[in-house]
Amino acid sequence: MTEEKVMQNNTEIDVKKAQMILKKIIVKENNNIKRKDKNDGEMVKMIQKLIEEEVKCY
Amino acid sequence: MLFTHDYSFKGAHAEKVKALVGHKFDKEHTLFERNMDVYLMAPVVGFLYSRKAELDKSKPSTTNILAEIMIKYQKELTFTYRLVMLLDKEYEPDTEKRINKAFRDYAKEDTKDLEEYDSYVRGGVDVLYEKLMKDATQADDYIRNLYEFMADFEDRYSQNSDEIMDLCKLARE
Amino acid sequence: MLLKSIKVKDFRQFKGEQYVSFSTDPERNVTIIQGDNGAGKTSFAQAFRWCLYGETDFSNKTLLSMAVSDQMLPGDEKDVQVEICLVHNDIEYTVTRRQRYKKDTANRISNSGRNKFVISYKKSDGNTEYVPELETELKMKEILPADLSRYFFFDGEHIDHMGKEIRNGRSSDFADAVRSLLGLNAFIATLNHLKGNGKNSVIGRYNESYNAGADETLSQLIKNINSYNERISAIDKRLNELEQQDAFANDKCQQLRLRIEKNQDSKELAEERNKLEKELAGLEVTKKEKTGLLLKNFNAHAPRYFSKKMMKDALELLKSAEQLDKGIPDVTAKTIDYLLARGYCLCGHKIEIGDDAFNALNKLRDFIPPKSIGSLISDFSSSCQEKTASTSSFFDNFQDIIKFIREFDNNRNTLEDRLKKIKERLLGMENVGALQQELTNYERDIRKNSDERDNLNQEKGVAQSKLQSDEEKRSSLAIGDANNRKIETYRAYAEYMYNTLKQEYDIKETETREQLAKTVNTIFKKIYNGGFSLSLDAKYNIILTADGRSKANDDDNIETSTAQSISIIFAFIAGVIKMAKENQGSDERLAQTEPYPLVMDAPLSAFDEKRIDTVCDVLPKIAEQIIIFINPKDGKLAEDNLGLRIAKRYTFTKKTEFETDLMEVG
Repeated sequence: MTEEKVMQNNTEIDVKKAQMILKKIIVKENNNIKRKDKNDGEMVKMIQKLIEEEVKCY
Repeated sequence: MLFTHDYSFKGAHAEKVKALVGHKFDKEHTLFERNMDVYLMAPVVGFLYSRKAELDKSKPSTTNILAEIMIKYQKELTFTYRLVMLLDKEYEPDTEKRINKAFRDYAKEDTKDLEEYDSYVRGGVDVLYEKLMKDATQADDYIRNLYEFMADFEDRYSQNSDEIMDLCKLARE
Repeated sequence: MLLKSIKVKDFRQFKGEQYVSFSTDPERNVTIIQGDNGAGKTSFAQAFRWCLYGETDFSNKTLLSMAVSDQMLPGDEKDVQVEICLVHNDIEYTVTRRQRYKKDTANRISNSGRNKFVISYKKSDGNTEYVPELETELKMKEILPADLSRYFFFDGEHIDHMGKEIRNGRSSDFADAVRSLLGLNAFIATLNHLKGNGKNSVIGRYNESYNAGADETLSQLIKNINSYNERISAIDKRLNELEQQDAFANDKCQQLRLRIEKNQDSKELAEERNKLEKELAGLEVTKKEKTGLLLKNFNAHAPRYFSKKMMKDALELLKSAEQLDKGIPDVTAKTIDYLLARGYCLCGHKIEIGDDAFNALNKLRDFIPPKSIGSLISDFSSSCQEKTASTSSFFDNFQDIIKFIREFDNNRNTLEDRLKKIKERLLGMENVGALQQELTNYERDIRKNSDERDNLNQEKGVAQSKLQSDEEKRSSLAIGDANNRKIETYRAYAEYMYNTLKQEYDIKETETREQLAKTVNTIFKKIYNGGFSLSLDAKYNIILTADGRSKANDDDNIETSTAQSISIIFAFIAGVIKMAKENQGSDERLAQTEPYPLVMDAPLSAFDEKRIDTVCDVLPKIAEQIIIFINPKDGKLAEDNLGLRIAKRYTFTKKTEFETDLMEVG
């Protein structure tokens, strides 16, 4: 699959990477809806961590 | 002289006169304006209905007509007195004597004649009360009673004014 | 999932154990529960929700029967329990929820501990197995999720609420249904977490994380951006409030307009009433005047009028006594004495004692007063004449006045009759003036809100464009700092993901909404063959269309519009159930082949006969199992129209205000 890049706020976004992060987030959200073991603040932090980790990696 | 002193309705008649003069049947009007109006009408009514009544002492009530009012209406009252005296055949069967009672003796204040007259006054008060007030509750009842009372008179006597006029002319000839 | 039975113990009005078994026969799939309003239909419907999900809508959360709690002593404990037997995926489950209540020394009833929720099922070998305590909620979700259950369990209040929303052209139930049907709660949560509540979202937190260092321009930009963001979210919050206020005000306006229209007549009637009352008062015054005149006449003339008969008789009497033709008027004995003393007559003739003149005058004494009464009688006669003349028209006048009064009475009676009728009609009506005033106030509120909204939107637009430009500036400045550069990148990813997800969600929502509207419309047309079509706009406003043009909902009479909105509700329920079964995509929350029940209040008498027929035909086809609550007055309608479909019948019998018995009939 060719790497697709788009610009968002003057920043280049790796679409594939973004999709992967999103998928991970949704899985985590889904689990949390069932288990309710994290509150909103914790979820936000978790999402930030996911983004930061994934963006750093190649 | 007759009709120069205070007059008093007494007992039950005083009560009835008070009602006839005092009861505002439609919150505004009374059937009679003053005691004098009753006193003027009652003897005629009493005589025509052949109703006499004894002085009533069952109740302490009284209601008066002052002498000055009596004097003011003396002529009118005397006229009625004469009518009664002239026509009261039961009281005095003799025509000549009745004429004398009407035109000669009136000045003498014959208490017996006046008592006869007053008994018609009281009888008339009874009739007026029965006909006009008894059984009336609403304002419209009073008006209806008044009309029926008048209509009865009209039906019963239906006086023809012309006849009286003729008789009067006769008196002038 | 099909319901086999329910057993309630000391739950609200249901004292002791009461048991209802439901028909699961695919052909005769209707169970009827009949009861007066207030007998406990709503409580009974709530028993299902409480047992399965632990929720109720009661304002008094105490579930324990008052008939029971009244007899408890301080320190006593009692359990409320509801047990539902159901079949799901061919497995028979028993779901039980129990809550313990305790009476304290002050005679107060309160929960004693949390409620116990137990699910057991029969294994194929016939043994009973319990679902582990930690998994009961999940198991229940698998059988029927709570958010979807509301479309299978409809109590009267829920239906009322929906009817109101539908009449007002909007339905939050539609929006909720669409969201439930999407099964994308994770999407919604993700969207919120990415860019939801200002500072507390991923993007919000990144915005706060820029490090200005010594760069004053950057510092100012960060400050600006934060304040723009705050302002924008404040504006959004306010806009949201305004929208709710408007929705409320619009509802009110619509209700008021209806009421005003319905009571329009009352304004004219009230005017006529005032006119009539004035007229009547005028008549009373005139009547009193006439009465006064009548009595004045009576007092003044009646004695003379009455004495006419006497006058006539008296005159006749005097005539017969020959007393009427002698005497000289106003001449008395004194006159004679005077004439004799002065020695000459009135005519100047000299009078001597004993002469003819002297004798004639003395003879006259017999005919004049005091010896004679002739002149008195003469006077009397003139009086009669005068009095008679003065009363000649008395009775006619009297009669005329009486006639007037009678006419007033007739007029008055006519007026009073009319007035009475108007007052009777007005009694059931409302004061249009006050309603109009209220309407004007709401309309003014809406205009005011609209102005405020315009201003806010304008302000928001300005803030957004400033925000964007500042963000761009911040981006270019951020390059200078490694940390800021990273944050810039993370934030961009978050923004990108948010936008992508939002797009996808919107598309799905629109699709689902349109599909639901289509499904509902198909069913609606089947139930309500009145030439109406139903559609939903982007804000879930329900639009009824007739003959190709949009129509207000309430243009027909009330009955029809009630039947109409109930038809929409039925169609909506049927549509949701149908779609829920067909369209579960990823998470397959409802199995397609699984049957489902429909438990609801069925206000059949709101329909006309033709529609009862269609409703009763469609109802059993909506769901595989129908449990309906009906009024006794609708009982016959249900029997007539559902007859063969009905397998079981129960009645609620209200024993007291706090106690209801359940009985199977037939």
